[in-house]
Amino acid sequence: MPNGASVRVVAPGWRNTRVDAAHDAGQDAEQSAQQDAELDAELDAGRPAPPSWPNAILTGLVLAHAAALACLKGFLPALNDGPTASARPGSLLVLHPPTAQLRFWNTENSEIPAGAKGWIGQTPFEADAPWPSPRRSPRGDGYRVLVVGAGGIGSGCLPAMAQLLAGDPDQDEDAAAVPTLGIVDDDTVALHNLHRQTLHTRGRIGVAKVDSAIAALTELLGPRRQDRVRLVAHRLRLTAANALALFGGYDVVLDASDNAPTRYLISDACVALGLPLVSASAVRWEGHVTIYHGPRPTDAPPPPCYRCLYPVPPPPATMTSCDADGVMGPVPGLIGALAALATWPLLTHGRAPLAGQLAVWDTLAPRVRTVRLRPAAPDCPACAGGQDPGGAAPGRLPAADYAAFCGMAAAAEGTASCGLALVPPAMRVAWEQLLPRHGVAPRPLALATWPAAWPRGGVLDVRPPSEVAVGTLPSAAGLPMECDDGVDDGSPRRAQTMPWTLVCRRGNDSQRAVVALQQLGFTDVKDVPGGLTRWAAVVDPHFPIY
Amino acid sequence: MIVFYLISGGLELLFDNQKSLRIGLPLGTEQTSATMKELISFIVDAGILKERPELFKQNDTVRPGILVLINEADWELEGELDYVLKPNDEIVFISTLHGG
Ligand SMILES: [Zn+2]
Repeated sequence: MPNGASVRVVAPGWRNTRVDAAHDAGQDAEQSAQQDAELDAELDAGRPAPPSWPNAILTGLVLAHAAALACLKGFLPALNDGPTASARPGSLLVLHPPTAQLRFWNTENSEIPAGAKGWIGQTPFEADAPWPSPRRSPRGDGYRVLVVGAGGIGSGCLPAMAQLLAGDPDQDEDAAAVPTLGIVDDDTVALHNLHRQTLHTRGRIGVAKVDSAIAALTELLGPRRQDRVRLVAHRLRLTAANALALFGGYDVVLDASDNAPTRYLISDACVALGLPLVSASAVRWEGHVTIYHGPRPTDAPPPPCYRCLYPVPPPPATMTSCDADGVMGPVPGLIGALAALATWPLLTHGRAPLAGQLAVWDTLAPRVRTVRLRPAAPDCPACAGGQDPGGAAPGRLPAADYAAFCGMAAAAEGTASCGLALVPPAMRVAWEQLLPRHGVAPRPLALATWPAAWPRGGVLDVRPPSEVAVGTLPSAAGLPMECDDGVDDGSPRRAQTMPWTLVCRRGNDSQRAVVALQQLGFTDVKDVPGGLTRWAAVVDPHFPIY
Repeated sequence: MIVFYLISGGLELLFDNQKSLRIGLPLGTEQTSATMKELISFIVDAGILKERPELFKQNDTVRPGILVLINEADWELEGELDYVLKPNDEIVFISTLHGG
């Protein structure tokens, strides 16, 4: 293959196979065949002949390969390592919507013949129109894209967004319009979630995720293109107090956050400011992508906002998170990459094929199910039936405290962001208060000393056995309904009257246990906010956190 | 009447980890077919749902945070609880995902 040539990973007739989720309009076969011929003429003659496998198999293999690599490293550097790519560092993967071709553009390499560079083919919406720039906004300056969350989904969408916005350094007409890619996160890189948060590295454990992300993206873009995207770190927790001011500086927001209150807040802020919201979420084997409150299609009712779809928050017990419920590492990466792809037509054409539809990926029943969603609800307190711009109350949020709206407590420092508020604060006790409560310092006691060391109740670990096996406080024990407290007065004490302090992983299940024990007649049960995660933060930094 | 339905988003944990089921509904007659409301009650009452029914059904409908799809469309487009089931309809109960 000639040096620097583009690589075409297509089989004859590939363009006619149905793999393009973003495909908006049909294309007749004659035109397709003609385009095939044109493209064949353009492409270098040295490319290897594609094997005559069934297109569907090849399509599946290539997409699976690309998706797997995308999840591992972000779209593009990974392809440099792949067996199909002779592309050089800085290559750009293009999933071309009208014909679903995969093309690799090596935008770093000036050896590419000029005629073989640039966008080729129809745009998704207007026949024969050139691809508008994904960099330059109608204002004349660069687009401003904000990604909320630099975790697992952020690890999928940030590299793809950075590559998209950086574009081709040899296309000078866009040089002056430098896009902005903002990243919001208040967390630091941690070992236990690196399996999915592939933007971060072991070497950056403890570093702010926003700083780690920018380091990764700067390296990804390389010396020729790192100045072509303005990377902005917002190291803060998104709240109702700061969301509007922050979002006001952006054109589109990607929700890569990890909890329900933040998702309601992001949606409400986007509606209030008239911004489209690309929303991605993932747990366990599955992921969802959609565009809320996107540009209104001419022939369809206005698409819903998050509140239109979920007017009532789910019970806290059913809220899902990657930390609590687990997630297959590649799933958030895949979903994040899809979210970046969905943002593309929003920038280039101001249109959102995914608005009003929800794309659902399920690893165990593997296909992308794309379903039609309800239109915006006229009585929605945020968007009021999709009124644009600004929804029901332009520039204002319909709620002040999103944690309370979702039935959650504000997160305690050092604990997960998503805290259940099932029991009142008076029935909770911090680790530091265990001495006055139980007469012992909060340090591990040998199980063998129970109950002598715990004559009046004690600390109980209520996690399931599989988690207790990871590590626990040696003082944890099963709770007997009746026990001998060592006071020989002839009658066993009822355990129900003793003070018990319940701990779990993060302080959610322990609250449920408090409620359950109260229903059994226990009169003095409390739990520890933040649970063992908090224990690791304030008492024992070596305690295994998972 | 046979209805094919799928469960995902973690809801399958309430269904003994079954992700897809094909059930015959002993509901409705020649004249009146079963509705979505009756299907939801049937799923709970017939023991198809294995645990914690409050995490699936509340006040005759699904709990907040469950999206119901009827043949690949949001059930609000199809009449929600009043939708009359047809043979081989595909019903999907899918729990909202919040993680990232
Ligand atoms: Zn709305």
